[in-house]
This record gives sequence, C-alpha cells and structure tokens, in this order.
Amino acid sequence: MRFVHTADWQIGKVFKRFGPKEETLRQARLAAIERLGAAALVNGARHILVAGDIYDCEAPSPVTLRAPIERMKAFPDIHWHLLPGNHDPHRPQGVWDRLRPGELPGHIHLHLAPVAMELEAGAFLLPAPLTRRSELDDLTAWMDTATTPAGALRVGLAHGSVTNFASEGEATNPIDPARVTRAGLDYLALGDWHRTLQVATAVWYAGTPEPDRAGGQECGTALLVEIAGPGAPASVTPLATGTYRWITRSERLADAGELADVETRLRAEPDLPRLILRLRLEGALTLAGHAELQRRLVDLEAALFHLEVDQSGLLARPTVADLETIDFDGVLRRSADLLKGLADDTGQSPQTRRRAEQALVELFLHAAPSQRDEAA
Amino acid sequence: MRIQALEVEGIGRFAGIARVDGFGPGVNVLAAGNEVGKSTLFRAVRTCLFCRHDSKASEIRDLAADECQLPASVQLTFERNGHSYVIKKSFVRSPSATLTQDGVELARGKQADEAIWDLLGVQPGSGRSVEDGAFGLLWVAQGASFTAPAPCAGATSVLNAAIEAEVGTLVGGERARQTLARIQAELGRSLTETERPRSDGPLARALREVEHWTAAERDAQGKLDLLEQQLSELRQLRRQLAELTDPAFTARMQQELVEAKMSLDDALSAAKEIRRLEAEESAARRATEGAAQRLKQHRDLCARIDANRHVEATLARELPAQNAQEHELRGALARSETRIVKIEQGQQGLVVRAHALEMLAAALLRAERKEELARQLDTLEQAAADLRETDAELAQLAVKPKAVDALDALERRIAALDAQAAAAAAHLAVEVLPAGAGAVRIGADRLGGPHAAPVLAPTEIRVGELAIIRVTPAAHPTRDERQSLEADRAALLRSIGVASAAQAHARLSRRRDLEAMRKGILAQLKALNVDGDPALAIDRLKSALAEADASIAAALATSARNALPPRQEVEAEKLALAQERVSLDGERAKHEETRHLTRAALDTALALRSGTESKLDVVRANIVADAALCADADRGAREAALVTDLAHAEAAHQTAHATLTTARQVLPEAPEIERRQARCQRLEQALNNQNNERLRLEREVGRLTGQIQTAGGDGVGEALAAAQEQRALAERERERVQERIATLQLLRDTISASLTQGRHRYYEPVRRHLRPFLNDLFPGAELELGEGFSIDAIRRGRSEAFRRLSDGTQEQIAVLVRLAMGAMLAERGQAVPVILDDALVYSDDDRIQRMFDALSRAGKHQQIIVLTCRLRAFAPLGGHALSVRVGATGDSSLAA
Repeated sequence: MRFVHTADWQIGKVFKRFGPKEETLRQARLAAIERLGAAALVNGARHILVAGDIYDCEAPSPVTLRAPIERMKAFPDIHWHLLPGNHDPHRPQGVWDRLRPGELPGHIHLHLAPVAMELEAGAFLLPAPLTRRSELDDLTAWMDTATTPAGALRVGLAHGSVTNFASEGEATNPIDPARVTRAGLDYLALGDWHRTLQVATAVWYAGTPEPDRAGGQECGTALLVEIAGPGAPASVTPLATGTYRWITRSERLADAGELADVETRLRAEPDLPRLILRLRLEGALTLAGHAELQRRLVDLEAALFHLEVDQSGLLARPTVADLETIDFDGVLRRSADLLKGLADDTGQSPQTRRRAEQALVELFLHAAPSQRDEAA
Repeated sequence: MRIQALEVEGIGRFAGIARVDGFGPGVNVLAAGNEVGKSTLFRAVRTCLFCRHDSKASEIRDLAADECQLPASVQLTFERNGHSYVIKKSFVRSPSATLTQDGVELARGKQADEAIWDLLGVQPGSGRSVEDGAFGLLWVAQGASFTAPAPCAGATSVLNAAIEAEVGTLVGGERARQTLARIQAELGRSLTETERPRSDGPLARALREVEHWTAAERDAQGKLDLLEQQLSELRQLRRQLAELTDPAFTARMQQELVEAKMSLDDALSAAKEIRRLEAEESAARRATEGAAQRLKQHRDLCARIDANRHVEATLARELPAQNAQEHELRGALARSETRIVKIEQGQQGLVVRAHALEMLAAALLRAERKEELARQLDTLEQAAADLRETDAELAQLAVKPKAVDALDALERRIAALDAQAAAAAAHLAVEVLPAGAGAVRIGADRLGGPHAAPVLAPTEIRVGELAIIRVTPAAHPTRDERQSLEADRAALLRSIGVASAAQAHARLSRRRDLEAMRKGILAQLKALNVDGDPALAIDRLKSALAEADASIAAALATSARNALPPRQEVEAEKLALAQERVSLDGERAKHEETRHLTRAALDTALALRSGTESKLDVVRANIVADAALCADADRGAREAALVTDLAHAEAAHQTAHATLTTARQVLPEAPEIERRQARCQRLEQALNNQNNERLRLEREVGRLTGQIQTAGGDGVGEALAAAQEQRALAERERERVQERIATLQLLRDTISASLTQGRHRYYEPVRRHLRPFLNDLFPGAELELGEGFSIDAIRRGRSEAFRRLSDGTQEQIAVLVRLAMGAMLAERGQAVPVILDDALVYSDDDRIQRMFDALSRAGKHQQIIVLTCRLRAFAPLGGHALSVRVGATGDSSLAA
C-alpha cells in the first residue's frame, strides 16, 4: 500500500501585506496540489490523503471553492481523500455541502462522516472529520471499534492536536497519541501542525505543502507513505512540494563593518527570488551605519521575493564622527547635540528616546553631504 | 552715496527739461502737491541706476512722456567715497548711457550700465534685469511704506555681510534652513499648516484606510456571525425535525388516540341508555301526575255546582226589596226638579230687569258726555275754519323772504349808484324870484321857491315863455350798470307780483303774521288731540254724538220710559233687584243639593239591583254548564274510576324510577366521559401540532438553507480574512506614518529652536542700530525679528504681534527698521540714500513729530530724501528743501 499524506492546504488564504504579490502566493498554494498529484504519479501512489484544512475558511468564494477541485480533476488516476478540518469543518450547508458531493468526479472523495472506506483490497481508511471548529472529545475514538475484515490494513485520517504535544494548531481537537495502538492502525495521518513531524511510531503530521507564515515550516512538504502490509512498519519519505521558502533570521549588529557579512550570509540563501525573509535586527549602529544599513536593505529587498525587517531592537549610537559629519558647529550640530541628549536621557520615555534616535538618523541622512548626494 | 542733482527730460509729465535742485546731506524734503511728478522723478532715479539704457521693458516705455519725440533722458549726479559721479541715460529713442567721475568719462553704453552697478555694489540678475540690493530695501515707493521690509536675496546678502562683519557668520544657518525646508516639505505632504492631516496626504490616507478596513471587517464579521448563527439554527432545526419525525413516537401517539376513542365510545353508549331510562321515568311520572289531576278536577267540579246552587237561592230572595227602593227614589227626584225649574224662571226675570237698569245707567253717562262733545265740536269747527282761511291767504301771498332780500340788495346797489351819480353830477340850483313865480318849471313841476338838485338826467327848465333851458348831464360811467340793475329789479318785482319794494315788504310782513297765526291754530288743534286733518276729528265727534243719542233712545225704549230717570232712582232699583236675586239663588241651591243626593241614592239602588240580577244570571249559567259536565247521577261512578287510574300510574312510575337508579349506579358518570373526550381531543391536537410543526420546521430549514447558500456564495469567510489583514496592515501603516511624522516634527522643532537661538545673537547688530530709532517713538521697546529680517512682534512690557498693530504703527515701525538697516550699512561705509515716497500718512501729530526726530537722527549718517504732498504737515521736518525747475533755463519753479 502506497499513498501520499498531506494536509493544511488552506486554499483561499489571504496575503494582503504582500500587496500586488498576494495573488502569486495564492496561486502557489494551488500549484502545490498539482505537484502533489505529480509526485503521487511519479511514486506510484494511487491515493492522496488530505488530513484537513483544505480550505482556509468555512465560507470561501465560489472560485476559491472550485479552484482545488479543478486542479485535482487534472489527475483522474489519483484518488483524493479530503477530510474537513478545524478551518473547514463539515456542517450542514457548510463548505462541503456547497461542493455538492454528487457532482464531484469519482476519484475525489469527501469523508464527511466517521465511516470506514476501503481504499483498495484489504486496505481501509478510517476518517475522523471535524463537524465544528473546536471539539473537546477525541474524534478518533471511533476507530477503536471500527470494524474491518480481519487482517485488513487500517489507516487513520484525522485533524487536531495530539494530547500532551505542544501543538501550534489553533484548535483544541485532542487526539490520543496511543490511538494507533488502540485502534490497531498501521498509520495515522494527521493534519493541523504546519511542519512535517513524526509524533510517534506511524503517527505523522504531513506539514503544509506550501508554507504560509514565518516561523513555521520553511519549505513545503508532503509525505510518501509505504506500508508493506497489515502490521508492517510504515516507510515515510518527505516530498518537497513548495515553491516559496519562508525563513526568519535574527542578526545582532554592533558595528557597521558587520553589515557586509550579514548581507553576504543572507544572500547565500538559495533561490532568493522565491525567498520570503523576516529579518530581525538588534544591537546598535552608528548614524553612518544606519545609513549604510538602509542602502543595503534596499538592495536586499530588490533581490528577494519579500523582505520584512524589524528594526525595533536596533539602536542608533551616534559617534563624534557622525556628529561632525552633520556639522562641526552651528545650527545643525546644535540640533544633533540636542537630539542626542534627548536619546541618552534615561528620564525620558522609551518612545521619546527612540524617536530622538530616529530624528538623529534622519538629520544625518538630510545633513550629511555624502548621504544627501547618495539620496539624490 | 549721496545724490546731488537730478535732471530729466521726456519723462512722465516732464516733456521738457526738469531739474531737481537743493540736494544736501542729511534730510531732504520735496514737498509738492499731487500730480506734480514726485513719484515719476523717484522712478526715474531707479531706472537710471538699475535699468539698461537699451532696455525695451514696458516700465521704461511707461516712464516716457506721452507723444514726446525726444528721448527719455535722466541725469543723476551723486557723490560716493569723495568722488562726484554723473550717470546720464537716454531711453526709448536714441538710447545712450555715459558715466563720468569727477568730470572724466568712465564708461559709455553697456559698460556704463554695468559700471554703475559695480560702483554701487549691486549684481546683474538673470537676463537684463538687475538685483538692486540695499536700494530696493531702502527706497520705499508710494504705498510700500506700510509693509515691513522684506529684503530680496541681494539685500539680504548686503545685510548679512554687514552683520557678519560685526558678529561673524551664523554657522550652518543656511544649511539649517534648507534642511528645515526639506523637512517641512515632507511634513507638508502629510499635514496642513495647522498640523492637521492633509486630506490628500499619506496620514489622511492611512487614517481613511484604517477606517475603511475596520468598517469592512466589521461588516464581514457581521455577515459571518450571521452565517454562523444560521448554521447553528439550521443544526438545531434539523435535530428538532428528526425528533419530530420519529416513526415510533408517532405510532405510539396514534395508538393512544385509538384507545382513547374506544373508551370514549363506551362511555357515550352508556350515557345514551341513561338518557332513554330517564325519558321513561319522566313519562311515568307525568302519567301519575295526570291521573291525580283528573281526580282533583272531578272533585272540584262537584263542589262548585253545590256552591252555585246556594248562591242562586240567596240572590233570588234579595231582588224584590231592591226594586221597591228604586221606585221611591225616582219620585223624590222628579219633585226636586220641578221646584228648581220654577226658581230658574224667577231668576231670568231678574236678569231682564237688571239689563234695563244697566242701559239706563249707561244712557245717563252718555247724556252727561254729550254736552262736552258738543263743545269740543264747536271749538274744532271754528279752528278748522280759521286754518282754512289762513292757508288760503298764505297761498295768495307768493312773496318769499329770499326774493325780498334780493330786491333789497338791488335797491341798495341802485341807491349807491345814484349817490355816486349825484355826487358826480352837476348841481342845479334855481331860485325863483317873485317876478317869476309860477313861470319857472322844471319838467312838469312848476317851481314856487328855490330848487336845488343834482342833474342826473336831461332836464328841461322852462322859464315862462322866455326861455327853455335844457340841461343834459354827461353820461356817468355807472349808467349801464344802473340800467341793468333796474331791469333786474323790474323783472324781480314782476316775478313776485308787486309794484314796488315797499309793497313787497308789506306782503312779506303779512305772510309772516299769517304763518304765526297758523302755528297758533295748529297748537290749538294739537291741544284737542287733533294731529292732522281736523275734518276727520270733526266727523268722529259728530259720530260720537249720534251714538249717544241712539244709546239714550234704546235705554228709554227698553225701560219703557219717556225720559231718563234720576241716577238715585236707578241705583235704588239696582239694590232691590240684587237682594231678590240673592234670595232666589239660596233657594235654588238647597233644591239642587236635594236633587243631587236623591240621584246618587237612585244610582246606588239601580246598581245594586242590576248586580243582583247579573250574578243570578251567571250563577244559573254556571250551574247549567257544570251539570252538563257531570250530572248528579254520575258523580259516584266517575269518582271510583279516577281513583283506580291514579293507583295504576303511581305503580308504573315507581318501576321506571327504580330501573333508572340501577342503571346510573352501574354506568360511568359525566366527568369521566368529559375526561375521555378531552384526552381524545388532546391527542388529536398533539398529532396535528406535530404535523404543523414538521411543516414549519421544513419551511424554516428551506429558508435557512437558501440564506446559507447565498452567504456561502458571497465568500464571507474569505472576505473577513482579507478585511482583517487589510485592517491590520492599515493600522501598521498608520502607525508608521504617524511615527514618521512625529520624528520629523521632533527634528523640525529641534532645528527651529536651534536656529532661533542663533538668530537672536545674529540679529543683535540690527537691534543695536534700531534701538535709538525705536526709542524715539516707543521708549523702552524692543523688536522681535524673525526669519529673513521679518518683524515678528514688538515688546513693550509684553509681546504684541506685529500684524495686530494699527496700520499707522506698522508703517512707523517698518520705516524705523529701514532707517536702522540704512544706518547699519552707512556705518559699514555702504551708505545708501533712504528715499520715502509719500510715507507716514497715518501718523498722528505726536507720532509724526517723533518720526521727524528719527529721520533727523538717521540724516546724521546718511542722506534721507522724503517725497510728500503734505506740505504743511512736513514743514517741521526741516532739512533741505528740494525744488523742481522746469524748462531749459530752469526759470520756472514747480515746487520748492
């Protein structure tokens, strides 16, 4: 028995902070379905089990609703098994009823009730669909008593958080990690955790096939699962399915001389045009260092698909040279001294001091001849 | 620089040569009336110094005199650094320019233009213009003195050079201003001048975005909440529907209904049987009551027959006595009536006699009244005759007072005319001597003595046969009028039918007498109650006399008398007659009472007898009728049969009652039946309710399903997620923009504060020079100078914004600042004349004197040229009086 385990497609997710690039990311999630189908064909798997959260919300637009179905239709030899998750629970007249199961092609299966289904001879799928966002009971419990012919291969399909496991999922929906043993499962395919992870023997989270957030799975992944027969151990192989990489990096800066190294490190990441970088900067820089940092960040942003920089932890520490660059004397120098005094005054609020630093940087950018020329 | 002389030709109103003389150091005043050309001369100086001679600028063309064929020429002589310079330029036609120093030509043409600029230290501008530097600052054109000095770039440079020579450079001031300008420009994209978000700026856009997406999120969340609520409601409805359509539950309810109906049918059958037994028992009871009733009726009939027979016997005994009493009463009644008839006849005789006496009494009264009527008739007839005579005479007298008045007026006028004619006429005096007695005649009159009269008409005097003297008076001017008046008088006399005025007066007097007499007659008639035609009143009196005579005759005929008796006799007869009538009335009343009582007794007797007869008839009829129902012979047999029937009926009733009692003890009671009926109804209703509820739930499910499908089709979940992210993005952008603005504001405020601090020190030389001038007008005051030498405020104990000061004060301060700037430049060896064209127009007497002091103070260091049209007001200024001389020889003075 060979199948592909995937989850958390979350079709229809919005990425408004990416502006015009939003649609690219949305299309990437649909493209991941095609890569899943292709991977299944290449690896000889006839079934793809989707462990919940096919849709990002319960009320998607008609186009969003039909888009993944159309992608799956392109693979008629693959059986797609779709399970409602906490983002798209099955409720009367809900998202799944809108799909009108009777009109779906035969190779797309909606598992809207805890009913066993024979995938192929001697192999049964035991689904545990969610009917609400949050369940207090373990919906996989029914698998313990689910009857299948003796000697059948049993695969569980569920969406939720494994008990006593530090889940990052949004819903409670507890799942007993011992369900595999109790229910005599050969494999329990789980969804909700957006990173590929083995929770226990034969218990896996597939992760999302296309990442959607920073701090989660960097690359989109699915799992190719092969089980020789009932009671045999499951062989699990990760499959790369994602297009865009979402990474988070933190850098501590103490000197402008480090900027070049940091940029080099970041530019060493593969496939920059499809990299979404969240960069957190800490430490302190001179005013000239700040000016250089801004220039480098502009360059870096141009190289990446998206760059998000958090400079709230990066302080401005003007040197004498910075201040002399502004002026040796006179009005601007006096202004710089005043701002520096304000930034150094511990009696001021953090916001005031931070603002004074920013004003100082701004003054440097305006007043320093080289910076102004650069800006021009 | 000190101006020494000015000569123009073909400039403005000066078509020929005009020269300004009298320039000296210090204060110079050109005081002349309006339209003399002061401002034109001022403009000519500027043009000569700062414009190229070959310029075709419109301001130069405008400067040239109208229709003047000569070039517009200006020649200015001035002294600078110990040298005397003459710059002469001709514009418009045959343009030329020459500059001489101490009589030696320095330059010509274009070189002369530029040499003068070099000499004065001003810079050529772009194109063919020139930056006039300090001159532009200190030469105040007409109307420009009200505004504070705003030095152009060149003037600023000059001032800055002077200041920096004293205090050094304001380090970085220019860079700070440029930086501030850039910051302000960026802030200006977001904020208005009052620091409010600019509607088209980034901050306002960010705020609008937040507001927009917050509203969109709220809207989408509302729709999603509604969808969630509908889904929950749908789930609830479906569960209710499933419970409601449970077949086992429905079957159980239907079985219960069947059993309840059977139980009810049993109870209803038992109730029907009871109703039948109750009807039988009721019928038996009614049969018993009928038998008892018939027996009672039979016994009552027998008793009634016996009683009627006893009454018949009693009435038959009472009837003869009642008939006898009736006959006796009828006889007494007839007697009473006969007596009453006789009394009535006597009373009628008394009435006839009383009537005759009343007629006699009335006749006596009429006889007495008749004499009075006769006297009234005589008086009335006499008055009527008098009235008729008076009216007839009045009708003959047609003279009216108005006509007599007109006649009198004519007479008076004629008399007046005659008097006038007599006065004017010749006076004829004739004295007849004894010898001529009787021989002298005037007209027909023979004179016997002396005669004297005016000659009003041709007069003939015959003296015997000796002579005839005719005197013809001259025609008097009033003769025509008199003739006309006489004609009018004759016509008037004819119209009133008299011959003279005296006759008219006599007739009018008679008419007034008659009118007075007539009023007296009418008053007499009114006293006799005659208010109209007296003939009618006379007729009425005659008729009354006739009626009195007729009445007396009738009374005598009725009483059969020949003459009226005395009144005492009539009164005595009346008294006797009254006594006789009282007696007859008493007797008649007594008999009528008797008759009344007798008639009442008769009525009673008749009623008694009639009642007895009627009762007897009724009793006998009843006896006959009752005997027909039950003959005396059948009484016993019928009594026995009825008693037997009653016994049988009572037995049947007892049997039915016992049967009913037994049935009631065995069968269910009414409350039980009602309970079973209620149960059946309840179960039927429950089934109906269940069916209705199922239909309602199905409809609700359909409705909700449609709504949910619609909401799902709208993609509200996706819309909400998008709105939430957009709102968060907008909030971050708003915070970023706000932080950016706050940072720029902090930077701007810091730089501004630094600049202000530096500027205060920088402007100290200006303030030092300004202080004495300011003290002349505003002792102890200080000016607060702002960016670009602008005047922000004056501090006189407290700070007062410059723009809030009065126009006059603003002008005075602006002039003082110019004087101070001039003094500062003069101290640096860059003296430039201060020219004030028609300034200080709003200064009061005290202030203008103080301003003169300030001008005089400034005149110690530099040349001050004041152009004014206020000759008297500026007389106290002193200084050099400038004059304009027109003409080639300069012998004509326009102003001095």
